[in-house]
Amino acid sequence: MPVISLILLGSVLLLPAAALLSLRWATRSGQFTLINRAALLPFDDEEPIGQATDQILGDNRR
Amino acid sequence: MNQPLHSHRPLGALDQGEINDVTELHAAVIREKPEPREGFEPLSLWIVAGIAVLLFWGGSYLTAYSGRFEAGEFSEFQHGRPLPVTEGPADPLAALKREGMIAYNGVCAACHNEDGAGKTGVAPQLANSDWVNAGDASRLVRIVLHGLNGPIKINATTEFNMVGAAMPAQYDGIGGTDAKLAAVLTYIRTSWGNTAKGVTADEVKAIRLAAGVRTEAWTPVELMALPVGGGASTALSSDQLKEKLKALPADQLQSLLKELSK
Amino acid sequence: MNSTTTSKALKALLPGDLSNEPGRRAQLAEIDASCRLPVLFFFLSGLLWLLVGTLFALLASIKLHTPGFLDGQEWLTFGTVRTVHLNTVVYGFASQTAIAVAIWLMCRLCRVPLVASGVITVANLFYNIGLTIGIIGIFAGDSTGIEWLEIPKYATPIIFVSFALIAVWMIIIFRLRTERHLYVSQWYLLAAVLWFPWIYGTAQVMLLVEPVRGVVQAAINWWFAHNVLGLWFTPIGLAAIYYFIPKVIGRPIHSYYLSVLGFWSLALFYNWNGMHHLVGGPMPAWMITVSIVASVMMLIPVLAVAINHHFTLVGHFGKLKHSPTLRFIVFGAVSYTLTSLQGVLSALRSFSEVSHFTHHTVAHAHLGMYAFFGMVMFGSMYYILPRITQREWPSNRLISVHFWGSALGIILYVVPLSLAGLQQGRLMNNAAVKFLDVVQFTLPWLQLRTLAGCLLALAHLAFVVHVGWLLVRMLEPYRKPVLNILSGGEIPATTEK
Repeated sequence: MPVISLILLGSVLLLPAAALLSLRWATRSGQFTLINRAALLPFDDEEPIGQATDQILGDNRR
Repeated sequence: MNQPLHSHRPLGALDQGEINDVTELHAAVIREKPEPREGFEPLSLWIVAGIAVLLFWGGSYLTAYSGRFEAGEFSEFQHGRPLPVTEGPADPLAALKREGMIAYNGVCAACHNEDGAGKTGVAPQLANSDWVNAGDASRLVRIVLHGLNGPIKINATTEFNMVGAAMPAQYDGIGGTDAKLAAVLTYIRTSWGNTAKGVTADEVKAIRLAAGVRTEAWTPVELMALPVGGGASTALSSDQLKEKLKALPADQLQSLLKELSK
Repeated sequence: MNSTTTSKALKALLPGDLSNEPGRRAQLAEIDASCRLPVLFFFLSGLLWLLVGTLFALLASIKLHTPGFLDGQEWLTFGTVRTVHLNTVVYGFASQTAIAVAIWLMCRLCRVPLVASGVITVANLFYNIGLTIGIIGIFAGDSTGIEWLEIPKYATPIIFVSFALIAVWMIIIFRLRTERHLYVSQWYLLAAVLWFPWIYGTAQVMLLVEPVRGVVQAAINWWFAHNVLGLWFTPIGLAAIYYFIPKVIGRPIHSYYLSVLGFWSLALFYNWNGMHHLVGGPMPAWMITVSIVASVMMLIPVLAVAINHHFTLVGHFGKLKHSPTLRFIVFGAVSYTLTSLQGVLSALRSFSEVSHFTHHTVAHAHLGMYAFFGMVMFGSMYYILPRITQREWPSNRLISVHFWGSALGIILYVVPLSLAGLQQGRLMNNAAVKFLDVVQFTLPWLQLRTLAGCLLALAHLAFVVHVGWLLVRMLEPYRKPVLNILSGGEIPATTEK
């Protein structure tokens, strides 16, 4: 079963390699050093920290 | 902050580089905005400790229950499952009956019913049957070993006709060991009002060897013709045994040897 | 509340009329607009499949306690009905809404509009064609008989290719990002869109194209089935939770370190978990043991996520009252913790000996797929749909019906059936109890499940009607901007004509 052996071998080699590469990339591009910047990413000038969004359920609407 | 700090200091003063102006002294601190705590709360030590404990447990469990990482090891216990510890005087008969009941309910009860009453037209009753209660269990052993076919008379009164619905051989079905067969027969012979004595694995083995290899089911007539003890004599001398074996046709002898070497 | 004073209060909050200031919300609006068609298509087709899946779920549930129900219809046997239910909700509803949420989140976090969105729309079309062929195939008797992979192999390549296309597009969006840093949601999304084609493709080849033999089939089957949850639905669900909780309450996540730890430990441990479904099976002992250890190690990511979300929410629980998104998302987040803890317990040999092959497992699966993932997807839709359609939700009452129907329905489903399943397992392990008595014991609980299913069906109907109403509003001319950044939670009555 060459196809299956190839898939297995490929998975076994590729996946950890991909994981290691992405870890290396993340470390090198500073994803783990400027960690406070990453935590603020969902927010921007238009929807900044401290402003709640999606407050649509209230007593004044039916 | 643009001009150098030392310009405020009197030249040659015996200080260690301090400045007197309090505001300027703290300018760097005042300028600093409060650190937002949210977003990068450090990992709690409890979490680190918890992870360490989990990893330790994982390692121990892996070592203890992985069957030495062998492909052919299917039990997580390296030396087989430990026997359940029985407390106090164990009741071997009860244990045997329980084992028999599990096999009976799993296999036999489909036709003979869980209460041994049988089913009309399918299988005769086992409860209060002279076939079951006979002192000699050899016929029952043979029935389970090879099956039963033909009309059978129970308690000398009830005719049970099973032509077309013969009982198949069930030895392998109930587990394929003499001990299992003994347990099932013990259960049948001591339950639902039956009062016969139990059957041991050795008795089953003796009868199984005496019956030899057989592919067709027994008929009740054949069974009734057998001598008490089913032809199995545990007291058979080795010479007698040799004679018996010699008398067997070659193919039967071969399959018998195969059977024995299992 | 007087609407004119409210409007005045609003005007004070906002720097003038939004429609006159196109630049202010330009970036977010542009991103939302670029996502409109593909995301809407995925949501709508997902909801249609949800209705189909709910119908077949009800049929299957009724058939379990009333075997005579519809027994004259040979194309509606339990085996077919249950299989259709599973495949429509998993590949129809859950996967398609997951793709939509993933695309929208990715664009928002990368701060780029969706490029060539037509490709995604075409992928959606082919995905639905493939799925429809697959479901018809199951009705025609072509089910492969492999759990979670029942779709016949003439339909799966279409699904696989459309999926791969979506994965490629996600990577393209990622490469075009204007923000250098990654948010934890992006880690989860990228990983999920790469993991799913991998596990789906591997399982297809090894089970359908060139099947392996013997127990290896079972091993791959459960490796796949568990990883659909762990490497596809869980990351997408967590990505949505990680985005929407901070976003809705306006506060960053409690600890970013914890979220990094959660992601990498999930990536490390989850894909070993599948073998614990085969406890007691004829598998080499070490495979099952490794799987059990990995399952227990899942406590690390699960507790990291739970702690993180809880401490982010602390002090903001009042917002649950006003935000439908937060309600659904928090319900999902809590369910994620519960279902994961239940999963760890079920993986242990001593527990599995009782719970395996009982309704406990069924309840566990629904706690994960519905109470966690489904609810998170509903919550995400409540947030995303008004933004991409630029219309407000028309009715608070329908939102309430949806939330309480879903929440009460799934609680009524999971809690009794989990407990009854354990008792069922204890009875089944007792050789002195006849099998028929065990069946009798489960009957009332199965009937209760049908009741819970009716509640869920009602909730889904309410939601679909509501989404339809929202879409009808798109036909009306655009009048009011989407107002969602109020701190007071007060909104003018937009439904007034």
